Amino acid sequence: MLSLKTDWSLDVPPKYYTLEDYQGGEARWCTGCGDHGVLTAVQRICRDEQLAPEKTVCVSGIGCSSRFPHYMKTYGFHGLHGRALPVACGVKARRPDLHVWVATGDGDCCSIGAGHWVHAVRYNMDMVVMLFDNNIYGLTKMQSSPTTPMGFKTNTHPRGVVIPALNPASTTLAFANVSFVARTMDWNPVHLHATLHKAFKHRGLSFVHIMQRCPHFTPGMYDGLQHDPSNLLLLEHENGVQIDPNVAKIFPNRVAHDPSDIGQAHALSHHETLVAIGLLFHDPNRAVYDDFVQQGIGSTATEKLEGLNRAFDEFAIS
Amino acid sequence: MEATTDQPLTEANTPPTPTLPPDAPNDNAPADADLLRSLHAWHVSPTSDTTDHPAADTLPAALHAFRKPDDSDCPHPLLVSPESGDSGELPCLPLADWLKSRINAFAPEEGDARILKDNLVRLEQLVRVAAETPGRNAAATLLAAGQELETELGLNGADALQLHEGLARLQADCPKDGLLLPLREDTPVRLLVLALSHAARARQIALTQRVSRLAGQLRELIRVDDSKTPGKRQTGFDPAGMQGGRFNADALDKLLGPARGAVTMPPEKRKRLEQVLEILDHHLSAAPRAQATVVRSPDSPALTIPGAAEVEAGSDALCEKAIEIFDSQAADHARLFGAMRVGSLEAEGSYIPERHDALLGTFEWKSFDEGELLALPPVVAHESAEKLAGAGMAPLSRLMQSGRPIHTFVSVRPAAAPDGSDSATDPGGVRFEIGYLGVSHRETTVNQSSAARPEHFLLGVKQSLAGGRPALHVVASASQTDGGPSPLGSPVHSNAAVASRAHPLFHFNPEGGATWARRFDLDANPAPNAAWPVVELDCLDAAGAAKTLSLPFTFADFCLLEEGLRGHFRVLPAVADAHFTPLPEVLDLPPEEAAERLPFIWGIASDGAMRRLLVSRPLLQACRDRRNFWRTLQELGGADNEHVTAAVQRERDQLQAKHAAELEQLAQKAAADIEAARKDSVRGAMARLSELLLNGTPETLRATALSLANSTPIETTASEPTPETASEEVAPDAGEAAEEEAAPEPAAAYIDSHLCTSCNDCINLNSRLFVYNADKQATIGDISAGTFAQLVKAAQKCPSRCIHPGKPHNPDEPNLEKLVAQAKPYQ
Repeated sequence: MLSLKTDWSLDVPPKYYTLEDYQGGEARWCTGCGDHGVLTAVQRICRDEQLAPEKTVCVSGIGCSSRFPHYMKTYGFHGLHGRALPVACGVKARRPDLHVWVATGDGDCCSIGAGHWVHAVRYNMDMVVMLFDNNIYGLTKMQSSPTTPMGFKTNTHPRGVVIPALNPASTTLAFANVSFVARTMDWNPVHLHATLHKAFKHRGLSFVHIMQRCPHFTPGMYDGLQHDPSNLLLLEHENGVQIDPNVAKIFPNRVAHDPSDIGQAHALSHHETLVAIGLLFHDPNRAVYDDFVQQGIGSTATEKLEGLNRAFDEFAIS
Repeated sequence: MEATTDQPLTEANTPPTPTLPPDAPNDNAPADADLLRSLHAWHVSPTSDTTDHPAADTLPAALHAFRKPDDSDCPHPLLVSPESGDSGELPCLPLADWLKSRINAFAPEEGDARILKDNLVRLEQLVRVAAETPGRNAAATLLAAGQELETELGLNGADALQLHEGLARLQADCPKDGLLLPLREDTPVRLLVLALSHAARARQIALTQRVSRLAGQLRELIRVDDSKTPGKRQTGFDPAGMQGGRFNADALDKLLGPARGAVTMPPEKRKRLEQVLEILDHHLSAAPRAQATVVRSPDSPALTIPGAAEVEAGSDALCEKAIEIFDSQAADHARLFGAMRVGSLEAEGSYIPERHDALLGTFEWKSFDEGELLALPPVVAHESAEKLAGAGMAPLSRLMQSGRPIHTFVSVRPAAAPDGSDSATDPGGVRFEIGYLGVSHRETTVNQSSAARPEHFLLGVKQSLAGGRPALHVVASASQTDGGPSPLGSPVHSNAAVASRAHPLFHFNPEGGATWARRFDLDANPAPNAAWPVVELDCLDAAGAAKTLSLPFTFADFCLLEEGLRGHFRVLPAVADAHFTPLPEVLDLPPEEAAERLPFIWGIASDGAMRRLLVSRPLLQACRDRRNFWRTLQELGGADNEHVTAAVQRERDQLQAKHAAELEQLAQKAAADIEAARKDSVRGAMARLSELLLNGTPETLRATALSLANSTPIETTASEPTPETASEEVAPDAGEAAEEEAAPEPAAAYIDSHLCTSCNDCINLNSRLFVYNADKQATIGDISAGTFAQLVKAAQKCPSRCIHPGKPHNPDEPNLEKLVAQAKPYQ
């Protein structure tokens, strides 16, 4: 008003964050590990969206991929085995202003953390959950994980795994209140970046199943998909993951899939011959638990006490 | 006043049917020339003595229906609850509305509380009479009125009990802090002060909550810092916690060391936080101050509004005094608001000492945000338009330019010209418009309203609270005329002032939007699109036949209500003449033609007899000024804007011309197409005929004749692409394929960077030959810094297969032949 206000003088000048602002310690994953690509993709999204590092939190459990928070120059929580999701939910519940990324592996999430997986998806709190699926327990040197394919020899199954592998995407689709399920792979950075970016833009829990190569314990596990894209089925839709048409050309098999169609999403998630990649399911209107748990945030201790007393007074016997 | 607008005037107690004089306007009997000269002389100079002024009981014909005042539809008294609600908007309702809504709430069925409902009008009357003293407590007044009603009705038994219970319910529902405000001279300014104080109180409460929250955050910062500081650290373990008394917290504290790895905050930051906390705590411990201050001239009557202080100052020093009080209060708050800014910046870790230290030292009201400005105790400068129009104008203008959110309340008498003239007998020429002056300041919220329209006034007050900017409230007082009480009562009189354009209502809200149309609102006026509101008057002619007259309600009609201005009217004799012309028509005539006419309005005496009243030229000029000012407001408000009308007509003409031209072009093209098709058809037929005649057999001649007879003369189907065209369309693809086949091997090494997964394989081989780009994806750096062997090895290792070694850049490198062969799959 009247050009008299000098509020601007107290504003903090906007800072432009570069990729280096998100790069923490030197990544110590094996050379050729797919985790490097995921890390870069997340750092690029943080930069493109100009997320303040102090407003960003990476939460993980235990495993190779769970070293993720160490390599991000943001806040991080390297949690207990299988407990990445409850920690992330806790962070989001009390600090809704933070952007939460969750790094969890196939062992961490689908085995010891499976109970939390179910309920975190159901809570549908606003965060991106990246499931790094290398089909093996890598950090503890090659034990079978829930996603290890049948017949694959591991330290715990020297004659080969004898039960069918769990499919993380189709399993997640069956959980109550699921709102976002996508699948991508680490060896195609364009698709990986586009998928994670789409997940970041979704308000609710975005579950991204990332097929991730482990050059040490499961070398060649994904060769059939990496070197022969005809084994993949690219999901296309105006509401799905959008990638450069020149990159899309390398996938000979494509199918139009409306991500709001959960029935087709189920069918595509465990396609008999091909591995579907892209956005399987998306419903932005599912209930978000953040809306319920954030009531009263910012109240002082006095206000909380007053509220508590008012609540007690309703039960007072006069 | 008009059927198409809201009707603020009340109609009740049907007065005598108006009767036209025997010389109806259609009667063409000419007036005597001497009489006309005499009337003209009086019209031009009404000071000459005459005994033909209208009698005291003569009222404007358009207001005949309101001759017997009835206040039942008047919104006053208003019921306000200054202590209730926390939205910042003053709870305010017409008493009648409140009574009806409450009774309907506890007695929704028709038969419920029947006696109370039947006697509601009487109860309202009793309350209205009792509420003549402003600021009466609503609950007490209602109690007294209820008891009086019970006494009047003298009911017994069940009926008495039912009435008593109903009254008791009303009494219980009545807000304890409720005040009754009757329609009086000072009601609007009371309403303004109450509304501002109410809003400021709500802001103060919100401010205190913010301060409390911020103080808690800062205290937590200090506590965390203490926990890192040797000597100040408290173990803080709760002995009743998980391990109960078995857990030795002190031992753990000693084992870990009190400050190992902890970084305490710099001393200057700590000091800053403590200073801020001290200021915040001081505010929390002191009682919130939101007391309004009214600055008024010494000869204005005291308002004695609860919770508001009053300061006296002369008319020429009024605004300076208001500014002085505001600045003093703002300076007090600047310390708190500055501390809050520092505290907030510290709490979010954004405080930059070299930037903020200096600036906060000069923190003043200009840096307050809107919420902070509105939390300041309101300051109201109160003066009448007559006094402010003189020496008070320049200070008022300076106040509005200063940007301080001070409210100036100006009370206006609608029939008076605030320019120092003798307003009792002079209708004024070109009037000084204080509201318009406020609009010209552009950044001031202007609320030109009327005491009789509290909903309009309060809407303006609400708008003035939004932007933290100066506000000018120009309000027509609930006038009593200069000669005493209005013959129609204050509500009708005040609304007549609005309808006659003596005091148009408008809001100018700079916060309303980017365009003028959003900032300026004129809709609350009767007939906002017309020059004057029009009243349909049913009357009888001299022969007793029913007639309906359409009577514009002009400023002259309003002036007829003013005793002091009756000298500007003269009863025309009972003859008809072409020179006698209704005043609105005279205003529309060219000046030279208007000068020949004798403008009149219709008046009606208490017995219903209608008289044409000649209007003096000074009053005619005042009417012209009112109408012209109203036209100005209309154009500003977007009603009947000449530029808009002309632009619309211009666009319409252009569109019609374009449309006609297109139609003409289409017709010409269609005619040409038909002609061309006809010629083609004839030419084709001739060619086929020639072919048949020269080469055909009798059978083909017959078949062709038959097909020609059945075919349509003109074919309009789209042509298929010819083989030549098709081959041309295919050619580029074929060329591309050929190009791809012939593409030479790349000479230089390159990387498909967008496919790189940042796995570090190549970087670890040679971090100068391979570098990351801005997206942390590999690209070729310094080619001379590496060998072709490294390029080939990197290509072999790359899990994304995005490295292409190209041709060797150093012909002297050993084993080149072997390396080239190895590189081939990756080119």
